[in-house]
Amino acid sequence: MLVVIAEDTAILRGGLIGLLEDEGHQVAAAVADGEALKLAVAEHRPDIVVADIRMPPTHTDEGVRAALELRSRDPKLPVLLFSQYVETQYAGRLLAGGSAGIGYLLKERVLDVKDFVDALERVAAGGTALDPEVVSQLVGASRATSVADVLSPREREVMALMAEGRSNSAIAEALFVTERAVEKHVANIFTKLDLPVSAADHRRVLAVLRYLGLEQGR
Amino acid sequence: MIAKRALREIIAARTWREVLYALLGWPLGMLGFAAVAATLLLTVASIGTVVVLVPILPLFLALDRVVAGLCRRTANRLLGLDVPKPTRQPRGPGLLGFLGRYVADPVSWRSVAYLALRLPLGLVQFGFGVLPWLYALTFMGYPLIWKLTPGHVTDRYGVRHSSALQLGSFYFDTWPRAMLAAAFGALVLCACPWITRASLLIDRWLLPRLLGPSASSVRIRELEETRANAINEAAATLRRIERDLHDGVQARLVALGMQLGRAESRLKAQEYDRVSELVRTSRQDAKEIIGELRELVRGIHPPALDSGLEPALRTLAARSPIPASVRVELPQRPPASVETMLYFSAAELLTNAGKHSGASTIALTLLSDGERTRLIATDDGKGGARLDGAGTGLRGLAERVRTVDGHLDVDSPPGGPTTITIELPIRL
Repeated sequence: MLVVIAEDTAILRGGLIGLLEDEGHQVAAAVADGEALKLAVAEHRPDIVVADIRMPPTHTDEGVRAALELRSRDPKLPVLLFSQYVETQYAGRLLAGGSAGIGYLLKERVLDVKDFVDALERVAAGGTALDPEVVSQLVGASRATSVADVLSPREREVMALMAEGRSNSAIAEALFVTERAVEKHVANIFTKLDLPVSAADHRRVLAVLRYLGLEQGR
Repeated sequence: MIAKRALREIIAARTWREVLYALLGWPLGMLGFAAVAATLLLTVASIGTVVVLVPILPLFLALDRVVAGLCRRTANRLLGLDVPKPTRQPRGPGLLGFLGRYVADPVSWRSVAYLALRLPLGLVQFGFGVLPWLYALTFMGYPLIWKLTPGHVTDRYGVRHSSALQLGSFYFDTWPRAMLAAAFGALVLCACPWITRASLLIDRWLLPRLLGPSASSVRIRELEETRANAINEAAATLRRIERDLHDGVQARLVALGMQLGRAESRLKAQEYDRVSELVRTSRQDAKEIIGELRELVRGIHPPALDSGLEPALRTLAARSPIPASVRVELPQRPPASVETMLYFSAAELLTNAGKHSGASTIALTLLSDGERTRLIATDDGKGGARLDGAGTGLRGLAERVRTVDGHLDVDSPPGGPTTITIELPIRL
């Protein structure tokens, strides 16, 4: 697929290009700041954007702001953001606008090529990819009534993987159980969280948001 | 010769300022006396009735400080002194703090001490500073006085004399004798400036000690300043290290990891050429990272320093852009903190010289006399180095050295050669 990269450190930018091209993807453009990113996206219309959160000039949240702006123009544009540290406030801002096609990974996740490519493809397909570190920190910082308390240990494991954006089959693989078992756990979670009966995807997203303490109005 | 000098002194501005000061000695003394008397009476009285009088005592002490300040400013203006205003301690917490600042304040009581001495001092100054002038002038004007107001005196021999002055049986009643009197007056006049000056000596000695900042408060202020510098330096160094680690080493390690990840992935895909290349590049990157870390560590604590200053300075000299010679004469190793400071100072001096001096050689000498160590850097460059010169970093170095009570001296006439001397006490 066609990718646009935004990363201000040259060595990392080069490494990302090499990595993506190795795996058979095409890098349309690799830029070093938020403004250039917006221009590149407008010009190349990529399938996914991979961007660093901290870029010049202020090195705080250029990536997040660019991503939100790009998504306001095109809500379906998949964006995968990178960060050196877990910055929970940015994750919150990102997910507030809807979790479809959003990814937030720590930079070291790139070292696991397979996981990284998986996440990339998941996000490009409209799914979610949250770094496990980000998930655990968001849950820790959660101010809402702790979802984790009402769940059993097994359900918490399933919930954490769901929050990362994994599909049921991926969760089953990770926990060494059958997919059927995972579906049962998920159904129990929905019941315990008292989520209204509606399209399964929508309830999944709601459960994740509540788990991460990002639900609006709570 | 002497006459000329004497005449010059009489009409010198300094003399007239001092006479004015001596004149003021009396009124200031009275004022001071009044203030002190009131204060002391109040203190004695308030021992009995603390509650009522303690609030008033601070007011009187404030008055004392004001009067003392007036004395100080007058002395500064007229005697050419430069006694700075004493700094008062900041107020501590609670009742004790309140009492400490407003009642038990050393500045206030030193003012009271001075004012107590002011009256006797003022009288002495007036007596010796002003009266001799009048005395001399009177004598100089004797001929006039003699002519205008002749007093008739009959001595025991029955001779009538018309004189206004007599010394035993010696009557000043003739013109030559009158001129003698006048000459005497002139002589005294020549001595007057010196008499005035002498009368002010005690005041000159007392003023800085009683009305100026105490030695310990000056020292405290200096320590506060250098402490602030030291903390800022430390914070800046930490930020520099953090930046070097983050932007340099950490980023490189992530890139290295990515490359190894790619190699792993290509291995699975059996693209062995790509794997080989990726692994080779990774090894290269690892070497560079080690090099960067080594530089970073050297900036924190140079390993060479463990063996002593002489090998460490020689290492510095070897890496210096300008050929450098090193001579070290230390009777024994100074404490580690002094060694570190000397090492980094030498490094900075060498870098500076390399950047700005255009020299062809530079000589580093390190000496010690047991109490202080001295680092001297002499180069044959174009000179013109200044402490406040932009971009040379000498100012920063001087501040750092000052933090440990050291001293930096720059001797750099335009055209060279330049000699920079850093002195540090051995006991920090």
